[in-house]
Amino acid sequence: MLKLLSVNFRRAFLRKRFIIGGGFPIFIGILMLFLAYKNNGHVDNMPFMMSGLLPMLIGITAGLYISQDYTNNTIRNKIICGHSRTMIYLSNLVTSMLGTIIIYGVYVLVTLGIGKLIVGVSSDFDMELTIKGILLTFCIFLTFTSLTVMFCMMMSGVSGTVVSAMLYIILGMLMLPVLFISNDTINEWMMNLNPSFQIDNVEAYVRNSELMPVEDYIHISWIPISSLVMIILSTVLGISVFNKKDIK
Amino acid sequence: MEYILQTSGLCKNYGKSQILKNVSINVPKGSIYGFVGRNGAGKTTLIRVVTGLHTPTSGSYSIFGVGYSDSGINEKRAKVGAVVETPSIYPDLSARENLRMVCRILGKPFDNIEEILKMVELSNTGKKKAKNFSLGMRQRLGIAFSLINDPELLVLDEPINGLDPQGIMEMRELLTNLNQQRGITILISSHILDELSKLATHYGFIDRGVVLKEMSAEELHRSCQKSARITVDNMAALEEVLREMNLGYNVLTGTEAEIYGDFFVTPLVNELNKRNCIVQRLSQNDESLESFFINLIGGGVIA
Repeated sequence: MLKLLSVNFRRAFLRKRFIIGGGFPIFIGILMLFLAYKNNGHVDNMPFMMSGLLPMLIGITAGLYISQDYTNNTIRNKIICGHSRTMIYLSNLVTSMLGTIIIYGVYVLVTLGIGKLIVGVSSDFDMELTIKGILLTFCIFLTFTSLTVMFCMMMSGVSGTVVSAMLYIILGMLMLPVLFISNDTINEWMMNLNPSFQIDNVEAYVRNSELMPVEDYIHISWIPISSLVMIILSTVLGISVFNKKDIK
Repeated sequence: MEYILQTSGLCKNYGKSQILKNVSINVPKGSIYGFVGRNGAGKTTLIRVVTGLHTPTSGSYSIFGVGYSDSGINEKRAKVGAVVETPSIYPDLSARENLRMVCRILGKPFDNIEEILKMVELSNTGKKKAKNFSLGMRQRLGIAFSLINDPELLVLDEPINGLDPQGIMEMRELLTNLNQQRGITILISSHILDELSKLATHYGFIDRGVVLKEMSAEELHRSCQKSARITVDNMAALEEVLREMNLGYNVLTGTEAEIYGDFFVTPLVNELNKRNCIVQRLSQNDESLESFFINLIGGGVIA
């Protein structure tokens, strides 16, 4: 596992593509700070803005890394020399999750860390609530990462990257049937278990105020548990399919 | 005989089409095993299965005596080097960096990188990226990958495809050296029979997913060398004459034998006449590896 991680880290993080990918949240963060500074705004909710864009960036970065292993056929090198497929899968998961933590961590650091010093926060700013929101967002992004790794390892090639990049939208579209279901319980479950909606739920939770109160049907406490369950389920499913998969 | 790789009743299906049908091969230790078959015969599929890239639909195989589903198989796989179809190289890295990457995968030090680069004649490629390598250089880099772990079994799928005559010659020399000097057992698939015949010590012939025959190079040589088939009424007399004339032969039936090598017909017939042995029929048989293979698969053209 350590050997695989050593290779993955070198292949994933010490390359132009990741540096550019990692630079993107810095660019977005600085742009948002600039806009907030110009409009006399504050950085209170900034770590939760652009939250639909980041899963896409995570999907592209992790997806490209994994699919490249397939398109170059270099995944064969790992299998032929006797690494177990489970370990190959898990090493890709760990690498991608670390990439996610770096990408979102950089974004938080720029928007909140630097932003607080330069632009400032409002008088209503609650640091504890914000940190809680950030940790919950990390959970959701790790779920996205786990799903990205599952699709990329199962589908192989560029198709996995495309699905991963669109995962936020695809999961959002899964909510379309909700429009036709008038069952409140089902709607509630769908709203709280879908990672695409969980992102909005966290933002609503952090913004919670008299003007914009968080709706009763939003259960923030479900997020860590549902994330953990989804990560475990997607990993188990991904590993079982990858173990039987024929590699070209 | 000790076998490094054995398959038993191996089957592989893709959907409804059966690509490998009860394939059983035995690769002896220290041999260069030529796996011969037309394009689409199932050579690459078998190689993908034994290298762990594909899982068999049914049947089994063992590497160094360990079954593919046994717990110790991954340790044994570490003793196998393989190049399957196109070499699996990192295109944006140089030859040296590529080998370092493989060392990291294997958890090996970088000690023997220079030696291996020299062996495959890539030591002077400098910082040139692998994506700019010629096909021959890529093939050699692929072989360098498989040598990093000091393998005991090397599995090569069509390694001379696309190489120029000099590249083919160099590849042949490299493989012969690896086999003779390092004692590496080599399984090599090819449909270029002439080239394979210069290397292989054992053969397996496959067609339409079925292994038709396994034989040693000696057996194949006997089958392919210039021979004459003779039918006589006194086999004992024939054997006596052939021994006196120092000719190799193989008795096929009580009246029929195969005589190997060049010989003059008249002295042989005269000697048999002296022993009251009547020659009923004599026909010449001159078979190449290609014609042997075509006869084996029942006609057709080698792709």
